[in-house]
Amino acid sequence: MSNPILTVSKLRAGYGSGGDIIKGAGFSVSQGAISTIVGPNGAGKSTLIKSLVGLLTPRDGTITLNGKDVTQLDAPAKARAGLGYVPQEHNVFRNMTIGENMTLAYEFIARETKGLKAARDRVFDIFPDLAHRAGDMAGNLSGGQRQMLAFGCALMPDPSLLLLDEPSAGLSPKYVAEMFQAVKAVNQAGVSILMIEQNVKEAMVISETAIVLVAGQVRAHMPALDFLNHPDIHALYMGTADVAAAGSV
Amino acid sequence: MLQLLLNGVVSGLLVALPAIALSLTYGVLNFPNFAIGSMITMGAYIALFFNVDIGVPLLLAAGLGAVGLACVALIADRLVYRPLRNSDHVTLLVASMGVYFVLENVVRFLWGSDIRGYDIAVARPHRWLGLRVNNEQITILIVALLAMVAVWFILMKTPLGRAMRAVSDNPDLAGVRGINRNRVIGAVWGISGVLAGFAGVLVGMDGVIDPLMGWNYVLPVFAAVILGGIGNPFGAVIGAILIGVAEELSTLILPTTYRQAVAFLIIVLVLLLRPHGLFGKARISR
Ligand SMILES: Nc1ncnc2c1ncn2[C@@H]1O[C@H](COP(=O)(O)OP(=O)(O)OP(=O)(O)O)[C@@H](O)[C@H]1O
Ligand SMILES: [Mg+2]
Repeated sequence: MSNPILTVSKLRAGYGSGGDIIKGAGFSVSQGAISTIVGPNGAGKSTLIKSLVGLLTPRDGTITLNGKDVTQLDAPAKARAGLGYVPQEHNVFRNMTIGENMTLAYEFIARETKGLKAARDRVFDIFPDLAHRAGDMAGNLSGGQRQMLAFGCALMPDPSLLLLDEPSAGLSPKYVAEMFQAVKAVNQAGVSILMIEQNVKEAMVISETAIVLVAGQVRAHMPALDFLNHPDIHALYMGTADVAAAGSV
Repeated sequence: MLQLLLNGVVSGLLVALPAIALSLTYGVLNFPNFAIGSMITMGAYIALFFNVDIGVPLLLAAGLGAVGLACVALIADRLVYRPLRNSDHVTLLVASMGVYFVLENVVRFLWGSDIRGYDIAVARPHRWLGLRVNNEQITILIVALLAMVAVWFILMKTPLGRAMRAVSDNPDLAGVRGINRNRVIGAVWGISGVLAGFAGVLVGMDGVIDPLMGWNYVLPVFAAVILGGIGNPFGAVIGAILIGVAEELSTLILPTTYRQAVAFLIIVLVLLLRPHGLFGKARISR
């Protein structure tokens, strides 16, 4: 296993004055890998990722990105440190065109405009559909196209680690396959990926590592193949399987 | 009739500048800034200070008034609105009422309560196609149009404008995109200070300068913003012109003392019939 690009340890987070939703979670993502977080609804998967990208300030614990402690950085600073993020919903600016969304995704993180065109061409290579519709309002896109745009925007500033919150949720089967292909292609181009997925099998096929999150804690952290081949995958996913037998990493 | 229409458009343009300002701050900060009224007053007085007390030409004094008011808006943000950033909009609305009264009383304290006027030559109105147009109206037309074009350009064509639209649509996503919300808010206060400052000078040129001058604009400005669709600055311009024309035309059937009631009536009607304004929710913050 190569050096981790992201290390999370003893992380605690929650909303407002409410109790902890993330209760001491710890795991790591290897450089160049795809890791997938699974877990039941309400386990805190989205909350975990929001606290990683700085939308929620962690209450305790540390987040290390590329060897640097980034725990207390706010969202803009985390983005500049190389963290990309595609939220589960509300992930594009609906009142802007596709082109404006892409420009915006680049200019405030890169803080220059020289590389804008190259970045845009790179994203158009992965999502050719976007190129034909650059002048269209993002609010008029279908769910699948909007998801592609959100993904493309996150890639604009060339992040070193990309966090995806259920990239295939609500997509038709054709788009689901396309989305996982895109995830794989982006990863092969050198971007490490941490994603949340409910399409567990499709996700594990392209992942190196599975992270099972239940009730705000990491219940298992294992090679994706072991997860797929586990005799009681359902119990594992729900967090009720015997973790020692599942062999955590 | 045509004369009333022209007067209505011009007085609508007077309302348009603060309406844009109100709409911009609403979009980004998510509360209606009631203090817009006394911001107009204060802008007029800062320019008055430079124009009459120091003796610089009105154009330059207006610019200084606008810059001065932008500073006032930034200070108010720092002292009042920023500590309340995550409060609900009722709290912020009430805070802005507080700012309203503080600014109005600063004006009274510094400059007294007498009626004043700018140092400008009084000229005969021009006649054109049977219409009477005075120099003040021409100035209002030019300044308001320039300001609107400038706001449109900033909003639609610059990185700052994209950031403003982004924060007003989805602050979390804007943060993820590397946009610093407080900086954008600062810029929006600066721009709305400049707009309210110019509006104050134009209102002062058109009528008189006294500490209550901005108060008369609160209702029409809110009516314009509600009519145009809250948080939509371009809708606010249309709303403002419609209000101006409606007020002017109302004088055909109502005594002029009821002018103010027209704006109020429009607010009530819009809220009852089309709560999202003429231009609907879909276009908010464009
Ligand atoms: N903005 C919020 N404010 C307060 N509580 C929240 C907020 N968002 C989520 N929660 C709570 O946090 C808990 C975890 O929610 P979260 O969205 O992280 O779960 P999840 O694992 O992503 O679920 P799903 O699979 O449905 O997406 C839930 O109990 C939820 O009610
Ligand atoms: Mg979720």
